Amino acid sequence: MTTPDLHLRRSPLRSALLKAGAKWEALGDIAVSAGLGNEEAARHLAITDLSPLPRLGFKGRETIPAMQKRGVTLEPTPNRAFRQPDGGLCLVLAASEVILLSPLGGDGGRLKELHDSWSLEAGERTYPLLRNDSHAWFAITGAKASDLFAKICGVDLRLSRFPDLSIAQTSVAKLSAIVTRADIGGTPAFHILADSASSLYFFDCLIDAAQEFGSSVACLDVLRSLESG
Amino acid sequence: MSGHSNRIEKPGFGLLIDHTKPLSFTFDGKLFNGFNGDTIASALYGSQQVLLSRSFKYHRPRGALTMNGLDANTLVQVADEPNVRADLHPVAAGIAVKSINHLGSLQRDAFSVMDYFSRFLPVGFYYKTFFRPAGIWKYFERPIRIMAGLGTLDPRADHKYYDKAYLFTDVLVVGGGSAGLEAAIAAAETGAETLLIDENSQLGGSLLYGRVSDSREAADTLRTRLVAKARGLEKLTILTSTVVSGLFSDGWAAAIGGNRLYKIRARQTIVAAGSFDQPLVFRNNDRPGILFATAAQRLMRLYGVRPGNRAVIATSNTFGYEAALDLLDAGTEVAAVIDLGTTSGPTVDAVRSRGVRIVTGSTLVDAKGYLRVESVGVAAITGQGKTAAATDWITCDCVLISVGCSPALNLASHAGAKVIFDDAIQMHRAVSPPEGIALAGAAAGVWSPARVAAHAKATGSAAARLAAGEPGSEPPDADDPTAAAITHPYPIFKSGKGKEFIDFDEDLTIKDIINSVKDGYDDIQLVKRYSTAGLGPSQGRHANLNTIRIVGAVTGKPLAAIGTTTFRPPLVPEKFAHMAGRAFEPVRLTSMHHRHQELGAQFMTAGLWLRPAYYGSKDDAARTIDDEVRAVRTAAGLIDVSTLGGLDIRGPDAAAFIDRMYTWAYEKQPVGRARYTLMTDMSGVVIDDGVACRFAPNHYYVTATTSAVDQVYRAMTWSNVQWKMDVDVANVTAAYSAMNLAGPKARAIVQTLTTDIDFSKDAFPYMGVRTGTLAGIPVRVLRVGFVGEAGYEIHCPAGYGEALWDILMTAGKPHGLKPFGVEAQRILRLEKGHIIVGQDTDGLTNPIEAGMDWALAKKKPFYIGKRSIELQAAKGITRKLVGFAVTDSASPVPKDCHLIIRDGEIVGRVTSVVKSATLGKVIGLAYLPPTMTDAGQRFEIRVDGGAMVPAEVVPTPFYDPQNARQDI
Repeated sequence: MTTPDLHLRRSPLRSALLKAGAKWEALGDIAVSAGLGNEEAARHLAITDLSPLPRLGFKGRETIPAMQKRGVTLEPTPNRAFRQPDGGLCLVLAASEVILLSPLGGDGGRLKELHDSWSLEAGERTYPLLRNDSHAWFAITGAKASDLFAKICGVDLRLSRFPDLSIAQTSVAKLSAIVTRADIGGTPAFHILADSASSLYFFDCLIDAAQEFGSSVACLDVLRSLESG
Repeated sequence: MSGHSNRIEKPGFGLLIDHTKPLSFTFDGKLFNGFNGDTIASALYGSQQVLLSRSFKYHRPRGALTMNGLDANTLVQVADEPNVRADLHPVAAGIAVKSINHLGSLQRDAFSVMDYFSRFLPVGFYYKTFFRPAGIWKYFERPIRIMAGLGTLDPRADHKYYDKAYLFTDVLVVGGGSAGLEAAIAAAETGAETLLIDENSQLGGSLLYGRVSDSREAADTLRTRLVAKARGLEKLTILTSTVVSGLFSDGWAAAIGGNRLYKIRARQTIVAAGSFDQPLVFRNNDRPGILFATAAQRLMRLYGVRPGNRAVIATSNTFGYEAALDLLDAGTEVAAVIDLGTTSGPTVDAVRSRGVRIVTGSTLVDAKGYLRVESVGVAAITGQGKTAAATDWITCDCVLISVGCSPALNLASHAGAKVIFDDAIQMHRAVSPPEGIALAGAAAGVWSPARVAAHAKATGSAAARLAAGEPGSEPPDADDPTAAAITHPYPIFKSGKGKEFIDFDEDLTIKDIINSVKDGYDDIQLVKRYSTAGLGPSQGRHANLNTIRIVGAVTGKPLAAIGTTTFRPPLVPEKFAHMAGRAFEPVRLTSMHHRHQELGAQFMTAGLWLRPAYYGSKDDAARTIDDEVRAVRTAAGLIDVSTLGGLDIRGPDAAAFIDRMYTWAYEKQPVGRARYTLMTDMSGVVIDDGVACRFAPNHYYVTATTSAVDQVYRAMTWSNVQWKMDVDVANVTAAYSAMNLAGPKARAIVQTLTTDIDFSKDAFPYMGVRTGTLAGIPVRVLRVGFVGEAGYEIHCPAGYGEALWDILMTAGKPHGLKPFGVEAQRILRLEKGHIIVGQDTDGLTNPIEAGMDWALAKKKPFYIGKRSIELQAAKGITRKLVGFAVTDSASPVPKDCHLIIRDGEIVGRVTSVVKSATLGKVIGLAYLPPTMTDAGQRFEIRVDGGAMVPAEVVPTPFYDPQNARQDI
């Protein structure tokens, strides 16, 4: 057990998660919430803060070939996500931009390697972006996830119409957001990346919208359990 | 307890109520009984309280008309909620219901005297009165305002939760009657995801209370079968107690369900909304107890309430006879059926066989009774709208009307369908519905049960196929000869004594419509606006058709040539709360926000951000701000500047790109140095400023103002697309936290921390920039001096922001470090003479006016705005931003935007002003004519209350003019 203040990097959501009854575990240089939710609730409807997990962006006209050269699994198809061999995700947002999400295990080694292998001097037309810091990362899991989105997003995110690995770059609760469906162990899961500075507001909106469906706040451990089946 | 029970204790009546759950509520302070499942109106009716309201203009007593929320007669106030439709609103234990629109009691409304003055209130009277002689309006206004309006808004009412939701579907079916159910089932069975919406709590429409082929049991059996089937279909979603209030282009529909507004996107929409009953127009046809036959059936079948003890039915179709059978089954005596025509068939025979008197070729021509109908006069029809004298008066306490219908075409019309009058059926019909819209059931002109089922099924499956993109799947034609027997062609009978109401909402009579035409308003659209027919809460559902008939009769035009008024959304009242929904108002917080809260910050908004204005009590703000300023000037201060915009410009063309975006020169800017940036638009107007930090030959980190960074980012990305330069622009504002450590002790503080950056004066000079780590945190450090002291603007990844703040606050404590807010920063920057774009500039300010011509590169060939600025420079400026000081220390302190007056004329304005404790005087910036800008020139500022405050032009910076302190 740890506390967020013992770490140099901190989640902006920690006060809200603390209110929800979170305990804390260390994950690299940050504390991640624990002890929230359970698998059954996550299969119904749960909101999980994944912001402590590593993520990294690349942007620039040569981004797709640069990623392919580094062994990232992807195709030049905007608004598609690609599962990586390590369990992470590569979100292709445009022909010139990707975001890489770490696996739920939280191993950021591969992303660090990608970042460290890049240098400005090399002249490659792709440039890293601090998505760890610019974007909060939430997972909305469960069969009722689409119902929640119906209250805060104008895009048709019904499970039948927004299949696994689809991406919508849209407005959610009046906030620009990247919504990616990437199911976890057969449970519908939507990953939302949105402005980190607005993350407390956004979390409140999610909780508010989810309330009528009997939702809960979950934690990384629960999603890992879903993943392992 | 008020009233005797009028409940029906028989099977088959009271479908929606639970007799085992009685409840009590009050109406105008009196206690009434009802049952769980009742509406307010049904519970009142069940207790013999037929009088519900007073009419809008003449304050005539009114009772329920439709029992379906379609009329204004049942509007009541429930606690703080006005305009509640009593015939839809569920009654609940303990609620306090009040009637509206009367002076005194509902029974003895003093305003009812208006009824006697009706001859002085002719149609359009408000266009002709109250404005002459001049000034007379003020004598009318107050009493009119007292009399006008329905219900009372309580500004102290509790905030209630409303929200919105999006729904998506292949096929949307509006209306859950037999047609809607058949269509929805067919659509879902064909494979379409289908959404069925019905306004009532139970599906079934008229099957809930009406008959099929004379048989109530057949209707009930059909409803049970259809509902069970619908509920068993996986692809069919059902929303009840929800009303579709508008159809729009591209398959959008709006629906209201409780406190939620649904925004629905459908590939195909089927309107199966049924029809609206039409009134019989005769003298005193608005008396309480006179209601549509369907309303009486709803009272009986849904709520187990007998509409009266002795009834008269006026009808021109079999529906009226079916209602007679229902009344008889419920135990109500049917005094007579007055048939406007000569309806025949088994239903008529069944009524006759039960001993009911049937009078054919006759109509009602008058009603007696005031608070409730007591008898009706019957007369033979002698021609269109003409009768013999009433020879027969029949005693009754309720009158059921069934003389025709008007298909509910509003929604189809919203979507673009054309509405025409069909002489063959004496009803309107929708033709040429736009792609994606189809109609079913009565709305389509199909009435007979067998035809309804076949047509609706075919329409539903066609919609499903169309939604799936199958071509050639057009909906079937709607053709039903039985529709011709529904609606009487002219159920309007003028008495010669007036009070034959066409529009119950607006108290309009036959005479009013005739006079509208006589006044020259003979187009139906003009009649509507001049007479206000159809403008009330019912939106003309029960008035439009009869208005059109009268206009046709007066002008001699066929009804098809009269046309219709325009149907506009919403179909039913929508509250502002529905449209507002749940407010989504994003708030941006910096990484250090919780620390600011712990330090007692008072926050202010900056765009979407919350920023500390100062740290301390509001009661002691001035002293707190002065303390913060003093700390920066004498020791050190720390301000959170994370809200400043940050843009990473990377690529081989980075320098050339910056050079084109900003006014100064950057290509030769050394790596490791910052340079001021000034951005102008194409017309040369100042739109932003900041600094450009060169971290590498092909990497600039550019700061922008909090409010303008999104605009700057858009301008950069737009320009980059146009210019096709080899550069990437990224808005990294949220990715970085930033704090400005400023003051003579700033260097000493950072030098206590572990770092790989050499913070010594020579190694890290003023306007230098460095990257490295500070206390283990990756940082970008800018040695810039917005507040005029030595200092470091430290940027770090946002996740580390709070930790770095904590580390600096701890390290600075022995040095007297204090956090400072935006208010102190405003003073500090003004003492230094720095402008704030947007405060000291406006939408027309060019750099020369703002005294920023030093930041304009003269030699480079292009930057955005260069051409315009050169033209303005050649033309000469008309104002210039200068520093000033108030010369009389006893004078009141001017405020931002106070005007500068010379010889009675406005010659300038103050843009920023503060009382500087450091300098011991009031200083500011102001625009003045170029002839008044020399140091020492005096002028006057007009402050609040009109006093003139003397001031003089002072060179800037006011503080540390040699700029020595920021370079120590």
